[in-house]
Amino acid sequence: MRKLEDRIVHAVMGLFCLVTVLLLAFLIYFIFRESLPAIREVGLKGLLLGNSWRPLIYSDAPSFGMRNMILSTLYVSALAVLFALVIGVGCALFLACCASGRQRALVMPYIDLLASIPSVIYGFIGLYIVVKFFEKLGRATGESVLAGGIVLSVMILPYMISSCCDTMVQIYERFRLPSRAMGVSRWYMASQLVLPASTRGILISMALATGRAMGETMAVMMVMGNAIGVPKLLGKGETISALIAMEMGIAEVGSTHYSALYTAGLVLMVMLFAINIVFERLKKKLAKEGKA
Amino acid sequence: MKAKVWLVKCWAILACALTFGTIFFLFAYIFGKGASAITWEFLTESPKGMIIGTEGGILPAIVGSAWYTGIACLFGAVLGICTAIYQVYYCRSQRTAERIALVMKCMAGVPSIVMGLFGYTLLVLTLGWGKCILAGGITQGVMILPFIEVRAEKALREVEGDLVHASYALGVSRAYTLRRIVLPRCLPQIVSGVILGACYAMGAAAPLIFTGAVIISKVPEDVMKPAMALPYHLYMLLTQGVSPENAYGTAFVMMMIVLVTNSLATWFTWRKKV
Amino acid sequence: MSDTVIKLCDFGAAYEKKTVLEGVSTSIRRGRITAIMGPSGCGKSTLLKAMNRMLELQGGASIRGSIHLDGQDIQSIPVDELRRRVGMVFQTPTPFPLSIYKNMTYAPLYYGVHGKQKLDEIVRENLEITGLWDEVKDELDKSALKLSGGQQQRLCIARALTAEPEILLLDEPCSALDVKSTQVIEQLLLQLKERYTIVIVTHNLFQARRIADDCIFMLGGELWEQNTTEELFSNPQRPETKDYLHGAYA
Repeated sequence: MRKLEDRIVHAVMGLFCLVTVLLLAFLIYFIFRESLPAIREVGLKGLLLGNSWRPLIYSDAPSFGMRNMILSTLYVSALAVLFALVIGVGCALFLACCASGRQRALVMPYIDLLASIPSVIYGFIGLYIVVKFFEKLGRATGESVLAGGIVLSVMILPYMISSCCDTMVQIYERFRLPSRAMGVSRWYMASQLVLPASTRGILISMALATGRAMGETMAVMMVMGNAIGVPKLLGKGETISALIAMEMGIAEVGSTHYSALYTAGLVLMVMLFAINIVFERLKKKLAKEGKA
Repeated sequence: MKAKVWLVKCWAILACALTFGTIFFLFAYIFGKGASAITWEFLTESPKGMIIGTEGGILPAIVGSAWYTGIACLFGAVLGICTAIYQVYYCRSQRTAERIALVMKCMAGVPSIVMGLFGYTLLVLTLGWGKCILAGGITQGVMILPFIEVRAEKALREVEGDLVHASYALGVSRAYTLRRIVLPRCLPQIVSGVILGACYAMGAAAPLIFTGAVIISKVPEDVMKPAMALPYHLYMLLTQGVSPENAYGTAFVMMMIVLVTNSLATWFTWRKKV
Repeated sequence: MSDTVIKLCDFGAAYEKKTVLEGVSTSIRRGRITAIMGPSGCGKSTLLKAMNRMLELQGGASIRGSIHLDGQDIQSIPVDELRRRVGMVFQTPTPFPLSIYKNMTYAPLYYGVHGKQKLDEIVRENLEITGLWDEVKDELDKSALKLSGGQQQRLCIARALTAEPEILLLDEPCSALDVKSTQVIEQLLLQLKERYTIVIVTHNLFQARRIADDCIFMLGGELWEQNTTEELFSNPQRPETKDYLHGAYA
């Protein structure tokens, strides 16, 4: 009886696991399949490097260059990661070096709360606070890459903080006694030991945060203005994900436009993948140098 | 050197204050502005008005979101938890386990909008379901699957190896050990992972745009029909810019759900520790 | 300068309510190696940690009696000054995850030493004392984690010396090391006693015998017997000491 139970459970678990793995395979297959026509028709070079995106002009030949969207995505993500890095690392350092384990356990759920807020709400608040603020400063329109970067940075902050904090707590706990034995103060240890020793942890959290930032759709779409042009810090821009979200509804199924939007999704995935590899490399390199 | 240490100290304190200030502000802002919009009618009526949403309530969106989230949870939790169990307890080779972990990492890295594209081509078009609750729910389910799996796996791995080995040493099967020893010990964490996954699904609009969400519908009754969803409704209200009042109200409801689900999840994991 | 560096008067310590040390009175002599030994749980590590007030960092610890450093109660010395004067090396090597050079300049920079030349000098001098200089001089920028266990422990001793202490406390410094590295460290300690007073906790009787000038035998939280090493090993006064020396508690 028990043997049979074990076999059944084994089989069921294995089956579901297989389904999960197949789901990813399907996902990649379908995205790839749907984007093939556009790649064939327009060519990868034209899609990636073309600077004009005019999918609906019938008299003229439509064009599907998504260079500006790719730049926008990179631009706004880099800004967000930069802001989040400044705030997140500082906050993690404080939590790791100043708070006791109990206090951290008490405070961390609030940081996680930040990660649970839906992205439309971030877009909402970004629209009513950040964008309005820029308009008050006298700009004609507050919707901008900078506004997107600011909103996005708050969204990725919790990933940054909890990931950095984990590494820093480990280092702090491990070297607290030897450092105190030298009569050194808490903040000296924080700045001279904990901070430089957590480079690797900070890098990992950056990779995580970059991934989040680049894939984000709703919030950036709401505060960046979605103009298809070369992105400027205080000008509008449209990210790849916003492009897909805005235009999928009007693209005719099976058209080049439809397929090009799938290519955009594919490009986004490949970019995320590439960035992860870069960070992985850096991590390995640092590991070789023996950083924690 | 003194100056540098002092600077780092100031930076850390400021950053921390800013972070917690932001958290407090976000909730205070939405709760403060949204509270006045919340009336019994707002919660129990359909959207009305010349431009949809300027008057009336959000009941169809609330019920729609519940449907989407419920299906997403069912789909994501079953697959996620089973995958985690297989990975930790059944799969024999270390390499397979690592590969499953890699698959999960890749899946977690897929942007939600691409999940939407996937759901659109597979469920809506290829399978011919059309835009409907089931398609939207499953798309969200795929999105939260790795989210739940990672948490379940962590919970399973935290169960003390000694206990498990002691159980095996009695000649008892893995399934029995799982049921009697492992699952009871890590159930609170797995449940809290599912709850957080539900919260994540509830707030995500991107996967629903092409797979299920519509601007206006009746209170949903059939999973093969499209329905409204809270985040998409909020998005529509904002982009049309017609009714800040109702937008604040909708945001209030969503933030309330976030707060409740998170408290619940935290309570579940804390209860275990005590 | 008197012969006594550290003097304990009726010293006692407790964690929460549990007494771990009671009525310890002794003095540690300058320029000698004093070994503290005894079975595990006898309070020898606690005694060592009390000498630079590291005990306070453990929650729930309370103390009675007093410890004097050069005639001054250590409770009245600012804690960072005390810890600067009384260096400590831990059981397992604790190199900071920084470069070797940065490990060595960690304390000097804190105490206000600046200037590349000065720092280089401190690094070199202390690495030379510990015999590590020739082994690492070309790779000072290498992470300290890349050193072998024995090298790491010597680095930790060198690092402790950069704070220019008068006394060096070592808590079973060789317990995580192999025989060869242990020998190197023991040789090093014998050299160091010319300049520093050394107190070492050890569970290794042979080690105590090889390097210590004075020995303290602890049992059940009390100072059971104290004498010069030679005297204690050849002529123990109390039966429990004799049993311990014959391996009864191992």
